[in-house]
Amino acid sequence: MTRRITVVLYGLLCIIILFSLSPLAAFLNVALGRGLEGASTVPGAAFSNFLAQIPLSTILRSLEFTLLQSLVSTAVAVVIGLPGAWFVARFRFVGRKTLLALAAVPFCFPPILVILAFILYYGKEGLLSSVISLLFGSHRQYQGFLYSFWGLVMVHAFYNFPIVVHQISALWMRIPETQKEAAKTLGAGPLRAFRTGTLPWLLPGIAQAAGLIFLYCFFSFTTVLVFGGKVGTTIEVEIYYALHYQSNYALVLVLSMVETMCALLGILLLTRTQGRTQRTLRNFGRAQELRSPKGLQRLFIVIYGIFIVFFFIGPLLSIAIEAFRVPSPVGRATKFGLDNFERLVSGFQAPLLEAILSTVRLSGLAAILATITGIIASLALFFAEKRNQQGVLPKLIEVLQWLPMAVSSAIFAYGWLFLSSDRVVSSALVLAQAVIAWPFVSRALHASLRAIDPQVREAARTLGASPLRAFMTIELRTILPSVAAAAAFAFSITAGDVNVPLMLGMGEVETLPLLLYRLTAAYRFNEACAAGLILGIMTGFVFFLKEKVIDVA
Amino acid sequence: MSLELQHVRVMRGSFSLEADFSLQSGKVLVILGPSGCGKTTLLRAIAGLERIQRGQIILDGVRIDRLPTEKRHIGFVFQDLALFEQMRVKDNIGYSLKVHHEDKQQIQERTALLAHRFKIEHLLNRYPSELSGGERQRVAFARSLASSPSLMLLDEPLSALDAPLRREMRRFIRLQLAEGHLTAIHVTHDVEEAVDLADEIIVMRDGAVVGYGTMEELEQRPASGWLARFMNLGLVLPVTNIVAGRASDTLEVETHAGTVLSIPNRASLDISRLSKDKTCLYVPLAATDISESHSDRNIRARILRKIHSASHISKLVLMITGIENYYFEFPLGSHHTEILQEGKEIEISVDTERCQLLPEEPFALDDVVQPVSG
Repeated sequence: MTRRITVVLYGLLCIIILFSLSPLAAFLNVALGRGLEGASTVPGAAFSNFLAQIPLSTILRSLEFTLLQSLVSTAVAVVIGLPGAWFVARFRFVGRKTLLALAAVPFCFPPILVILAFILYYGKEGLLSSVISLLFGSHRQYQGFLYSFWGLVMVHAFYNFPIVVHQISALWMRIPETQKEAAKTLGAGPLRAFRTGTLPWLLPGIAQAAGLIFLYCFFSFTTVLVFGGKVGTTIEVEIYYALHYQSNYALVLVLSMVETMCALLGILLLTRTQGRTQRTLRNFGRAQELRSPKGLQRLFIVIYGIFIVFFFIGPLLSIAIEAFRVPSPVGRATKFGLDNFERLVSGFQAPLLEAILSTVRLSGLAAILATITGIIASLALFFAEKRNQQGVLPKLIEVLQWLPMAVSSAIFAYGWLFLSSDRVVSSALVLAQAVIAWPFVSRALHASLRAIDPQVREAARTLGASPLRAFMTIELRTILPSVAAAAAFAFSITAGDVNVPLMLGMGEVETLPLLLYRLTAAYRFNEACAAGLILGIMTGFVFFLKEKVIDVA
Repeated sequence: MSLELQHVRVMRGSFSLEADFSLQSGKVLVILGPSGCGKTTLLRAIAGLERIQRGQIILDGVRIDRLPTEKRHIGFVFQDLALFEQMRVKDNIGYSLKVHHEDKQQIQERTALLAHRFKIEHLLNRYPSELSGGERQRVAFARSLASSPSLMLLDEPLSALDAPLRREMRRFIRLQLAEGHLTAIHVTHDVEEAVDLADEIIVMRDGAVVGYGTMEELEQRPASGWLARFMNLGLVLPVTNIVAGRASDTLEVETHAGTVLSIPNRASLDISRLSKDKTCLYVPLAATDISESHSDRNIRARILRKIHSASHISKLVLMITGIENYYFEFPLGSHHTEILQEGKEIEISVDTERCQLLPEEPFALDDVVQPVSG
């Protein structure tokens, strides 16, 4: 890499740092200003006034609920996901690829869509209720459980368990059986042999998946907003209430700081285990051969498959069914057709087309911005690491990459809103979503860059390629498919995001997730399903393309 | 008998393995064969890590093939050693004793004894990641011996070591096996290692046992041309014609190189049914010599490479005239090496009394050859 390019890269990186941190600074500035507003000029009194706006009980209550629901949801997700990870890692069976593909759901299906699916399936009038009434003869047997603590936990666990299946199976596949077998030859029974020969290698992977799910549940917003109302609110929801209904910036500031500090602990766990997991993957390298399940193993796989289809795939399928089911008066036969779509396209206010267009326009812009930023950041991090692994710059970029995991999306959204002179909501939306999405792009590209064998580049150099040419033909050529994949991923994230639009309280622009949220809130479930199906197809298709690009590469 | 495998069959997908042999107590059997021939699978089947479809495995008079691995009382040293990286060396060695609920004092004493025997006392508090390749080998070996197994199984444990360390560890393993009067099966694809360690050798190919015996027995009757070539036991020459000799118990064999040799008919051969393509002439190394005079009955060869060393075995790498892609390694001994120069044509004289016809591939002549016993 020539010095001039490095200088340009670092210059751009400074802009990215400013781009990512400025909304935080803007929010801090405004929140502190408004928090101290109206106080006397005596500094002590201003501070007292600031503190008076912060109800400690609200913070403690929401913190306790956030931690409790995140921990329980994470534990349940791990328990559901672990058997799946084992089956996928070790056995060849029908549905194995489908089980792996479910990992895409948390990434390409926005939470609002999954919420809708759960309402339609587990709700009092849902499909499960119909099945129970068929079995027991009355709807009264089933009261529904969604709007409770365990309902919330279940939605979180089922939304996130595919992450456990995907991440842990990828690790488990590479852990050789020899250590477990060695323990057996030394007299250990199956459980002890597993504890000695497999579990120590698996634990960092479990911790990593659990850390990631914990963070997702910790920052859960829409799900808690919909299901948690009666039992409690998370910090993220409290921030939303404080911003929208109380305009209490002092409370928002403190809540977001508490949230960030807790999230940093989770991130610390993630980064510490990440190294060990990557080392395990690198050291063991090749995946172990899959085998056909036998006897009890086959039975367990079948039971697990039924469990997943019934509890997880069922809700998702109900979206497709409900999208085409035309609501009819009680007693009339159920009719299927395109009426729900028609109502969204040609009915009163007909919001669908406009919502699709604004989603494509705004999310497309945010994804492009996130991709460019991510490319620059990943290259800068890659070259900075090559020069000095322990340097400040690589550390700073690493920290920045975790920003969306540690900071409330409300802070990004409002930060940008405060920064734009004419308070244009849509530009704040694009910028906030870009800040949230670029670290995902950067992390994916950086992983691809790191995976390139340095000897290939050295081989190019020995064959006469200049440093720039070697970079163009090896690094750049190798990561191009990853760029396309990461851009698709960024689009999936931004197109499905409902948090930022909700936080911004957007009135003038309607995106698909926002439309979906409003239709759900208005109990227009069938139309919500039609809109949800389109959103799901859109993000799912982009995600599918991403996977294909990776396959081809 | 210490170990007996009776008509054992193991299936892995489309791969099938058959084995039927026995091993006396205190002997070291080496299973030798190219990659993918099934030697590791056979070892794993004995340990219970691979299910057998048919047959019986009997260890010290007890049928063990129905027992789970942990009940077979077998020591196994894996190719990658499979040390428990999260445990210190002492905990690795004491693992099996702990599993068998031995008391703490006994575990400590046994661990100390093995550590002393394997010269790893100073490593007991270290983790496997802090050990060198040779030290890891010793720990793996000590661990597998801790609970005094009835049978030791060694699955290419030396393959990852560099040449000098491999040689040293070979001596060490042989010494330990001999001192402990241990019955052991060692798997390798290295002929030199097999010769060095074995009391008996089994040669495997494509899931079948294609050779079995001591090294001397294999040299005398290698059972196939493939085996003789694989182990470099002697010259293996394709034949173009076989006719009955003038004497009733001899055969006139014409080789590809055009040489006609009169060899004894040791087996009852039905020449009319003998396929030349499936037959080769085996000349044991001990029956060959470099000839200084010309003869039509000599085999002509060209010296490709001359390796002359005081510390290593001096040898010639020869290309036999008339045969493509066959390079024969000929130990030099006390010959006048100054006249043997690279590129020079030489002649090899053959003691025809010790030559024999063999199937080119294992079992190819089973229907026409009945080996004469003794």
